[in-house]
Amino acid sequence: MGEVVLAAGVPHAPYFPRLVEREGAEHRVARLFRRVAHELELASPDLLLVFDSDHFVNFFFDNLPTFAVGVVEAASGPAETNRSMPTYRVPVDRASAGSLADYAVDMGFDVASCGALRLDHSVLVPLHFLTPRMDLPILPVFIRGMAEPLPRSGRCLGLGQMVGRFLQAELPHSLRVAVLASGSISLEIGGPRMGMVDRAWVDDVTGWLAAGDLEALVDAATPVRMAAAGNAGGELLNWLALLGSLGSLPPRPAFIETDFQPDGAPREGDAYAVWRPGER
Amino acid sequence: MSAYEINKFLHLLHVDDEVVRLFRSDPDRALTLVPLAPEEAAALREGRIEELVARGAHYFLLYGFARHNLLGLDRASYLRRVRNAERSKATGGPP
Repeated sequence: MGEVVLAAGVPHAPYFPRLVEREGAEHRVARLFRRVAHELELASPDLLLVFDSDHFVNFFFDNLPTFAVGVVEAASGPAETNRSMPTYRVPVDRASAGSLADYAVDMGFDVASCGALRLDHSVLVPLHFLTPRMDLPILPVFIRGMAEPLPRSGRCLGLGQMVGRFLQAELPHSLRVAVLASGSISLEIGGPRMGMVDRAWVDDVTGWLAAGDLEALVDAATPVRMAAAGNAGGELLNWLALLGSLGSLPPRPAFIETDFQPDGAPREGDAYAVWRPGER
Repeated sequence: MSAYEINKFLHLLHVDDEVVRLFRSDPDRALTLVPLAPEEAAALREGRIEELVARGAHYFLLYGFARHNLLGLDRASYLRRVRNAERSKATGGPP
C-alpha cells in the first residue's frame, strides 16, 4: 500500500515567478513557498498527486469534464499564450494515473481520462517553487473550477476520500505520496471585481481548515458562496479534495498562513498550508 | 448569436500563439478561424468589451485582451469597461 506522507495547499498566481525574481528570496511569496518546499523535501515523496483546476488549456466549453485524470507519460507547459515563467516538462506516473482512473470508475466517480495533457500555470507555478528540478512524477487530477456548473463541495470531498483510499490500497507497497491542492480561496480574474479580496471568506475557510472542520467547510462552500468570493472561487474545491484524501478525520495542519499575515495588509485571497498525515 | 463562438475565438487567443500574432497583424483573417456572426466578429475586431460581456464572453477568457495588450487595452482600461458593462447589466441599460 502507498502512504500519504504530506499534503499541501498553495496558490498559483501566474506572476509569482517573475515577482520573486524581481523582489528576491525574502519576498513573502518566496518565503511561503520555501516553507512548503522544505516540508516536501523532508517528506521525501515518490509521487505528487495534484488537485487542480484546468485553466482552459486542456478543456473548453465544447467538452469540459467535472473530474479528469491525466494518463500520460509527461506533460509540458505553461500552455497559455501569455507566459511569464520558464517552460517545463514534468514526468507523470502514467501507470498510477491509469489505475486511479479505473479505480475511480469502480467507486462511482466517472472521471474523464486524458491521453494527452498540457499543463498551465496553475500546476507549474507551484512546481516551479516546490520541485524546480521537475524530477518528481505527478499524478494530475482536475476538478472543474473555472466555469459553471461546478461540482458540489461534498462531492469533491468524496472524490478526495476516494483518491485517499486509492493511494493507500492500490499503489505499490511503500510508495510515498504527497498531495497538492492548487488554488486561491478568493480570486476574480478578468471580471468586474478583479483586485478585490473576500477577506471574511478567506478567514472563515482558513479557520475551518485549521480546525479540520470538514462539515462546516462543505456546508458553507456552495457554488453561490464560492462565486461571491470571485470567479476563480471554485479553486477551493481542490483544497476540499485534498482534505478528503487525508481521510474522514484529517489531522490539523502543521501550518496554515494566509496572504494577510503577518501584518494584516490586504493582499491576495491566498493561503499556504501543510498537513503531515503521520502526526495525528 | 452565440456566446460559444465568441468564447471559442477568445480561447484561441488564450492557447494559440499564432492566433495572437495573426489577430495583431490581420485581425479580419484571424476572425475567420471561428464561424462568427458579422456583429460578433466586429465586436471582437474592435475590442468592444461591454458588448462582448453582454453577449456572454467568459471573463477569464475575455481578459486575454488585457493580458496581451490587444487593441491598446491594458488592465486598467479593460477593467473600467468590464465594470461599465456590469453596471449596465445591473440597471438593464444598454452596454
